[in-house]
Parts: sequence; structure tokens; C-alpha cells
Amino acid sequence: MAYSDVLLPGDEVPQEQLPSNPKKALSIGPGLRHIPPSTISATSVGALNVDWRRNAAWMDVNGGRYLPSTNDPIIVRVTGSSGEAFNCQITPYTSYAALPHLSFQDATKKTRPQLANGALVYARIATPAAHLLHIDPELTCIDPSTGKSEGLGPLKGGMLFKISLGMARRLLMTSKRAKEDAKIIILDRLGEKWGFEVAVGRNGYLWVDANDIQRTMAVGRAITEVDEQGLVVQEQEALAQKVLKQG
Amino acid sequence: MPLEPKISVNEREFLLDALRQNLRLSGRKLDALRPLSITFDPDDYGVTEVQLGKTRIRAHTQTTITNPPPSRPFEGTLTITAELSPLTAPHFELARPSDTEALLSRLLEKSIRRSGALPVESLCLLAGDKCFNLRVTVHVLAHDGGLPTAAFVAVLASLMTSRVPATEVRGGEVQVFTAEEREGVRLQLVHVPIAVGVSVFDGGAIGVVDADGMEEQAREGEVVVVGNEVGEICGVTKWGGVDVGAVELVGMVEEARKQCEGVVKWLKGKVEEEEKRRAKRDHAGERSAENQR
Amino acid sequence: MPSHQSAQVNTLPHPDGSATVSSNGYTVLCTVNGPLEAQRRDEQPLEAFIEVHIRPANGVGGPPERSLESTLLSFLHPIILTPALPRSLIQITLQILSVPPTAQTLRTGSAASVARIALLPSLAHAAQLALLAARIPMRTVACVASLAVVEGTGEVGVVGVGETGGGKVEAVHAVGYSRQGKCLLWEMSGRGDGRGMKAVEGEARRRCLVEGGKGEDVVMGGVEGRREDLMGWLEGTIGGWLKGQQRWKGES
Repeated sequence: MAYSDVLLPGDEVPQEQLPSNPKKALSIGPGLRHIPPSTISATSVGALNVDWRRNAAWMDVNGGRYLPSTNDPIIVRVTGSSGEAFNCQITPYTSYAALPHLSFQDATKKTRPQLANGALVYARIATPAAHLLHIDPELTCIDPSTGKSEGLGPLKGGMLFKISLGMARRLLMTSKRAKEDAKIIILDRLGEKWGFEVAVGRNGYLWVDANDIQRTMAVGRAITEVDEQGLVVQEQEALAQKVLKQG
Repeated sequence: MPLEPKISVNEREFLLDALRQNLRLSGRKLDALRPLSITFDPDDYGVTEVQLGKTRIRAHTQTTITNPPPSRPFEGTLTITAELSPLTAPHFELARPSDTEALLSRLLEKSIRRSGALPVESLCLLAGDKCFNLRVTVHVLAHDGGLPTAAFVAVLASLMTSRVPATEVRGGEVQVFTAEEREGVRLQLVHVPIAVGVSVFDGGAIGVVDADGMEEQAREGEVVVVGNEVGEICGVTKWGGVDVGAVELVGMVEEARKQCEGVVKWLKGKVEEEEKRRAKRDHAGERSAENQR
Repeated sequence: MPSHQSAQVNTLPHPDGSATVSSNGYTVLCTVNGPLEAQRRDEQPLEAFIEVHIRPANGVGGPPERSLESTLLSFLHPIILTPALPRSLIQITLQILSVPPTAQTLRTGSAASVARIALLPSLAHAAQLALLAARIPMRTVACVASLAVVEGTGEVGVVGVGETGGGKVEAVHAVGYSRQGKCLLWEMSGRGDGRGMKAVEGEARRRCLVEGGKGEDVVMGGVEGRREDLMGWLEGTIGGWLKGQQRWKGES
């Protein structure tokens, strides 16, 4: 549930708005901090969200720079190789993350993947508690539970588009309920008529490959337009129609 | 030292493949400039802000009265400086002027000052004694490619709409009037030079007008052409980059020159509009004074 | 009354956060980038390193700008939740885009000290709006009012720096209050006494916050429900920006 009052940094969240499950500890998410003994105060600007079942409270924080968080799928650019790992950039002007040469499916010391500088890779953040430790994160292209890549790995061809962090979050929703709340239908509409692959990085990047230059551009531009203009579902339908007709 | 982020192999190859099919990411034609817009500060004459796509540049002109250099007693001085700071992007450091800044400043200096767009003799007030010193400062607020074009438009617009104080020479002394005493005087430009860049791709085979930020990162070279409203070429610059055949180069220069002409015509229209608006405002002020009598 | 104030948030495409604020005839553009990788010599193990750069309308600036940078840094440092971003760099750059055509002076003739005081609100507000847009975690938000003490007939007249109407200015003050009512900044130039200081404090508090805190719907200036204090203006500005971001959710 979301409250409509906008909180500014320093504002205390009123006790009655916080979930109070006696069995579970209160989990606070982005935009809030705990000042002992029992004050929850805002650190960003926005509306308060609470989930009484999960006993969680957080703020919708869209904007700003991506901060690495464990298990996030991200699209990174290889900047070099050193000894045991590839150096990869997650966001501009921040320190590099290491992607070990062996963290790829079926990689052995003899059959390491060859990645040139400037190559794009779809990876996950492996370092546990990455958002708390503030150390240079380590990446991986293997799903730890299956040992397989599950879609991670080098991205060949296609084109990269910049999207807002909020849009990346919306595109990565998996549960049915969350997908409804995300209100994105443009990719599904275009996917009904065209075949294309996409990869979404939580660090604000979308990779598209439709095997055709014009279609790839059309899909990427459609998403960036939905993102920049904040198009609602009806407007997305209209845009999809327009794009399909032109392509 | 934060390094400028580079584009990926995927982006570079996609851009090139698209250009080979005559396509640009923005949907523009290969010879099209991005939309240009300009705003003039209503209270501060000579302050202009130009937008070329996502690139934003602001220019303003400061006038002071000084002594002319002893070696050139019949001239005033005009300096144009461009500044890129961490405001533009973290990789532009304060202590060290970047290549981009140095090249832009030199281009502005060469093609505006040295082409005599504003004759420095017109800035002389009293030979060997007093002259106008004009200083145009260019701030790059957002950089998404096309800096020469946007900077030239901002600088020329600033010079075309600036006012210098009215002066009179009486008995060997220069009297300077304030804006309240006498209206400021417009500067007389002989011609209006504007820069347009053509970016080179595919080993010199493809030329693209007004590259945006990503296209600039992927390009292999650039030719900057400065042209004015009567179709003259005031400067051609190619700083290294991939070799371009002579025939192709002439073609690119001609294409850019045509674009320059178009931009100058547009700019002159905008300046005229702004001057009309100002005249109306000032006239409205006078009229109300009349009614009060 | 925050007259002649205007602000725009996040109009530039590249920085993590940006804002333009105009007040007292000054227009300031601020860009914030962060958290970035800090240089080895600046890196702090337990908190973020904050860099403030102020560029004047012309040139790179000198001692006055360096001194303003120092003041703004000490004002912003306690406001930013630096322990939340250890070892990183938060880069705050402010560009003065325009200055008022005529300079107000103190009775002593000094214009530079008045300019400094008149500029502080725009700098402080632009920096905070850009920080909020960049989602840098903050402890609080603060408003800064710049006031002039005008020579009157035995009374202490305190008005905004832009409202002196040519009267003789004894002193100028820049005073900042946080949302929680704490005084975070006080700079003064000129001459004054205890009575004057009290009057300035009262007027500053009134202009920054209403009733000493946030969330009060107060009838001010005759318009019901619309607050005219600086904190209300800041809330309105950032609220407008947030609403634009939520457009995709449709009617609520």
C-alpha cells in the first residue's frame, strides 16, 4: 500500500503507518533509515510504501545512479582483462567490477571465453550483501543453483539503449501481480508480430536484437519513448500500432 | 581522474551497419541537423542559450572600456573563451583544460575573430587611448555532440543582440553614457560565420552531418566547416582522423557549407524577432509615460 | 515571501541530478554526480567525500568563489548522509548563470559582501534540489533566507535582500533552517546589535518555515492552503518533479 503524503529527508514516519508484526523484524528498504531506538526517518523524497504481510516499508526511488545489489542482473561493458578476471564497468565513472574468467558455463582454464574490450556481457552480481559492503563487486555469468548460464553471458550484436532505473525495475517484474502494476505492454505488443531478443540490466540498460537494423531501432526507441514520456497503457497501445505499421 | 566512458563494440558496429543502410538511430537523415532552438534573456542583452538536440550552450558578452594595446592603437579587443567543467561531465577537470575545450576555443577564435566578423577597429573609441574590450564566455551546460555548431550560434547570437554603452568624444575625452542616459548601441557585424561538422565513418566513405554524442564516440574523423550567409567558406578544419579522399572531402565541405547558410538565415530571423519584441517592450514603456502627462 | 523564486529540476540529460534556481536576481545551475569512484587521496573509508565547485558567470573564479565553496561545503556536509556511501565521491558543481544588473551595497560601500549573502540561498537550494534528484541519501533539507537590516526610524527593519528599495543597508544576513527547525547556517556582513540579531532570527524563521516545522497548512498571503515560506516552495518544486515521474501510473 502506498501513502499519498510526500516525505522529505528527515521526516519521521508516523508509528501508525508502519507495519507492526510482533513476530518479524521490520525490514526497511530504499529511502528510509533507522535511528535507534525506534525512529524510522526518510533519506530521500517520495511516498511511503508498506507491505503489512512482509512487514516491510520502503520508498519508491526512481532516478539517481544505480547502486550494485546482490543478484541483480546487469549489462556491463568489458574494459580489460587482468590475471584471473575481466574488468567490467557497471556505470560510468565508478570503479570496475571483476568477472572471473571461470564464472562462465563450461569454462575451464583451457577454454576461457575470449572477450574483447568493449564487449557487452549480461551478468549477475555475485558478491553477497553488495549494497552494504561498498566494495568493488564481483560478477558471475552462472546461475549458482544450476551451474548453467540461464541467459547470462556475452551479448553479441544487437544494440544498447539507456533506460531509467524505474523502467528497468518495471521490465524485470516477474510475478503476475507485479507485472500488472508495472503497466508495460509495449514489448508484448511488438513481440506479437515481430521476433526479437531483449536483455534488461537493472543498471539502466536495455539490449535489443531483432536481427534487422530498423526493427531493432524501432523496438529500442519505442521503449525509450515510453520511459521518457511516461506513457500510460493506452498510449503504449497506440505507439505499438504506429511502430508496427511503419516497420 | 575519471575517464570518459567509451561505447561498446555492439553500439559501434550497430551504428556503422545502420549508416551503411542510410539509417541513423535518431531517425534523422544523414545530412540533417538536429532541431535548433534559442532563447534570449529579456533583461540581460547579449545572454543567449542555444539547444541543439540535447546539447545546451550558454553565451554572454561582457563589455569593459580599457586602453588599446600599444602596438595596435586603432583597435579594440575581442576574446572568446569556451569552458567545459565538471558541470558538463565528471571527466572534464577544472585544473586541466581538455582537448575538447582547447579545440573549441581555437575554432571560435580563428573563425570569428580572425575572419573579421566583428571588425576590431569598430571597437576603438579614441585612438591610442580608449577602446571597448569585449569578452564572450561560452558555457557548455550539456554535451551531446555538435559543440562547434551550438557554440557558434550562441556566440554570434550574443554579439548580435548585445548592447555596448553609447559614447561621445568631446575635446579629447571619451564620455560614456549609462543605459538610462542614452540607449546602448548594437554591434556591427560584417558577416555571420557558423560552424557545422561532418563526421566521417567507414574508412572515409560515409559523411554524417551533426553527429550526436554516441555518433561522435563511434566516428573515425571529423571535418568542421565554417560558412556564412552569403555562401562563403570561412574555415575548414580536419584534426587527424581517418583519411578522406579529396573528392569526398570536397563533397562533405559543400554539404556542410549549405547547412551553415541555412543556420545563419534561421539565426538572423530569430534575432530580428527578438529585436522587434524588445522594441515593442521599450516602446510600450514610452507610450505609457506619454499617457501620464 | 519567496518572491521572484523559480526552480527547475533535472532539465539536463547527463548528470545524476541537476537543478536551476533563480532568486534575488541570481540564477544558479547545479549538477550532482555520485556516488562516483573517489581518487585515492580523497577516499574516506567510512563516508563519502564531497566536492563542491562554484564557477562564476565569467572565468574560473578566485578567492570569493573558493570561500563560498567552503561555506557551502560546511552547510551541505551535515545534511548529506555521507556514511551511507563510504569510499565514494559526490561531485557538486554550481555554475552562476546570471547576476543582477545593479549591485546592492552596504552603508560602508561594500558590494561584494552583499553579493555573497544574496547568492547563498540560490546556491543552497539548487544544490539540495540536485542532490534530491540524484537520490543521494540526506539527513534533512534546509532553506536559506537572505535578509537586509535597513536603517529605519529607531526601529529595526528586516526585509529580503532584494526588497530594500534603495534604503540604507546596515547589515546583511544569510540564515538557514532545517525542516526540523534547527539553525544550520548564519552568515552576516555589516554592523548590528542584539536587537537586530533577534529581529533577523524571527524574520528568517518566518520566511524559511511556518510554525517551526513542516506539514502545516497555513493561510499566508491570503491564499488558503498555499504556503509561501521557503520550505513550502521547496516541497512544491520537488513534488512537481515527482508527479512528472509518476505519470505512467495513470490517474490515481
